[in-house]
Amino acid sequence: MEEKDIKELWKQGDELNAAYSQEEVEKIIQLKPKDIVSKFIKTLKIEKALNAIVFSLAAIFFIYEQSWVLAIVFTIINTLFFVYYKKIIHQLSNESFDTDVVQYLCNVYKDIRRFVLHYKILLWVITVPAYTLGIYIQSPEKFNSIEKLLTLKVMTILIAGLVVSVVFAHAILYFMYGKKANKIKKMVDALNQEEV
Amino acid sequence: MESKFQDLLESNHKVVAKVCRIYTDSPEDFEDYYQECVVQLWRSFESFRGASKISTWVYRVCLNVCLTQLRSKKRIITFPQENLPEIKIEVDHVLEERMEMLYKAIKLIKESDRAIILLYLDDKSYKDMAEILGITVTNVGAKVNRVKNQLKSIINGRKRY
Repeated sequence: MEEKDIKELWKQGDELNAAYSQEEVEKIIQLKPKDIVSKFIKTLKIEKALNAIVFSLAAIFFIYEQSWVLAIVFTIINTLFFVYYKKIIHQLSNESFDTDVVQYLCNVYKDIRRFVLHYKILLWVITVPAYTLGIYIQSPEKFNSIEKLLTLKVMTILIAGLVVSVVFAHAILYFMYGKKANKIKKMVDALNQEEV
Repeated sequence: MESKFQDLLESNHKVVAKVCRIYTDSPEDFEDYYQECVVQLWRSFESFRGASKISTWVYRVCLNVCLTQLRSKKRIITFPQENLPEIKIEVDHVLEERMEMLYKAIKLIKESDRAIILLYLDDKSYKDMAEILGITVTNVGAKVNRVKNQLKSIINGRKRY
């Protein structure tokens, strides 16, 4: 089959692509987008709302308990989280589908990495205090002196737990987003590669 | 606004369908991709200021949608009260079979190269292709030569074609 025959067939095939009706298009444009960046934004908005609720309730609880320092600490954390989420959502919301393909793929690649980094940060922010709290609940006396706290047993539990959690979380993030990011990166490299 | 968009989609629906078809393997995926393209065209329509040609804009949006779709085997979006709309086609079975073979051959090419062969088969100029893809005209020329030869070899290597 020659080049002109392929092009001829391609043009004939145009006739097979019939359009949706007006009513059907009206229904489609009411649908929510399901591209990867929109999914990130949706997830982050839910996280932002949940954090605001949890930290506000915690701050109210500490005010009720008259633990003023903790109430202030939680209010500050709440504000910082709010600003952080607002910033990251704003960065993702600026994505435009009508940029050229290479630029768009680069932007999506950066967005995926930003989103994954967000979870890595969150992982450390949550895991370290969670393990510390776990040890405190099990044996609060260890926190009375720094020598007791820094025993081999405690440090082994803390570090082993952290390593397992971090490796597990990284593996999940890789399978959920890392593979996709790599695929996009390969497409960008292939398009940008100068050929002769 | 909606009627303007309807007109635009009517005159460009073949482009949308072709882009979606080269990146999908099933009618269900095709419908999902097509819907997502329409949704994103609609969302970008308001901000489209005519800095590029309409066709360039349509190709860009559709290629961007299809190249970055998270493929899911299950359908995520369904219409609330009825089935998804069927595409109404008066079928020419011989042509459809030949087209199916052509699309199968295109799908054997890697994803980024499919964009190049699509634009080449649609008779886009190298300048337009460069503008859509965001690469240099020289690079477009070299890639077109390589990819069209690849497509020819795939097609001519098939016994049934």
